[in-house]
Amino acid sequence: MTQGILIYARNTAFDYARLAKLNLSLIHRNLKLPVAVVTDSTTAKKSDLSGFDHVIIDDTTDTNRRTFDLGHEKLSTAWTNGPRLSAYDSSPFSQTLLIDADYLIFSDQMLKLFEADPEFAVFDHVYDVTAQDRFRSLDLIGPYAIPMRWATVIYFSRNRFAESVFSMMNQIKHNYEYYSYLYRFPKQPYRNDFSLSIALHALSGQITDIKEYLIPWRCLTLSTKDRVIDYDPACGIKYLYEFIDSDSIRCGVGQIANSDLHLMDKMSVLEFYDRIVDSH
Amino acid sequence: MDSADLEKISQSKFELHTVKKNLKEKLSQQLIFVYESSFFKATPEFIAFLSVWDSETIVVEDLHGNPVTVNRQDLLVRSKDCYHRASSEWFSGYSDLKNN
Repeated sequence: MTQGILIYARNTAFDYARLAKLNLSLIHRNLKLPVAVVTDSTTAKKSDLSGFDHVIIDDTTDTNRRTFDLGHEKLSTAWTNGPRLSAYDSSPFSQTLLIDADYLIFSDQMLKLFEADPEFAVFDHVYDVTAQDRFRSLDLIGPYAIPMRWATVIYFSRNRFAESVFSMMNQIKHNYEYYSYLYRFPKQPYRNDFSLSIALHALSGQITDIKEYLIPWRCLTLSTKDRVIDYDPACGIKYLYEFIDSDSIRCGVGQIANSDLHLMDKMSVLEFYDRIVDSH
Repeated sequence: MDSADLEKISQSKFELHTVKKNLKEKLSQQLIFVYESSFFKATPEFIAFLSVWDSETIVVEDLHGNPVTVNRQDLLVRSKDCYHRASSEWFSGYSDLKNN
């Protein structure tokens, strides 16, 4: 059995390749597992991808776009998330942990998934690290209340069920407008989270409270509006966040150490690239 | 004290609360462990239950809601070890907060 991490990193306005490289260093340190990166030819030419155990080129076109609310500005850019649906076929591993490039591995927590080796596993809940519970409204999709399953982290091994989930996600992506009308969610931008949620719900027999395919802890997350303002090996990530206090918006500072973290503000964390990579 | 001072105190308490909540979330994650391919959580209740039971094997529910037959003593040792490590780290994080 081969175990490894799979990251998709195609550069847009964001330097996903550099994020993946940062994560590579954290993964080698904390999980001691090989890492495969899937990227396009242009990104591969312009980026330093040394150190990855596998570099897989995927030049599939993807016209998806998304506007990121970065707090201080809104940034509209390409969002090439579609190619992730080929992960089942692209992965060189028999046990794969597919993660977003900005899901940073600061601990060995994910080794528990490899040890338990479920057929398929994803997060069902996001934990807001700023303690404001800002993601609760995303727990359910649309008026039919399909439970949200997050595509940020997907664990899968080689089995018929995992293959069927990716296959159905592909079908949903190709008929996304139809599904958006059926389940009443915005037809743009395309979201893997929605495809995953619908596929998993359908393939679980339309039962909403099946726990079998869930990671039994929450996905710690900072939103696109929160900024990383410092990094220290002992104290971890220090971040600045906004919170609404009656009629005004105020800022707070928080910190979190040695916990895997989905950092959706992809730019600010790269300012601390050298410090994170060199600090251990 | 003027209202700005009071606001500062309120904000620092909120930030402290956030860091404490994050430490608790981390504890919750670290209490989860894998035993014979099943996920369990080393809570005080689970450890107490395993401690007072008297047979060698026992059926317990894993975190996915499945019944699993386990060696009670074996699982107890694993649970206590997991709890000790996770709670020690939680305490250490809390102590650092007090000292800063």
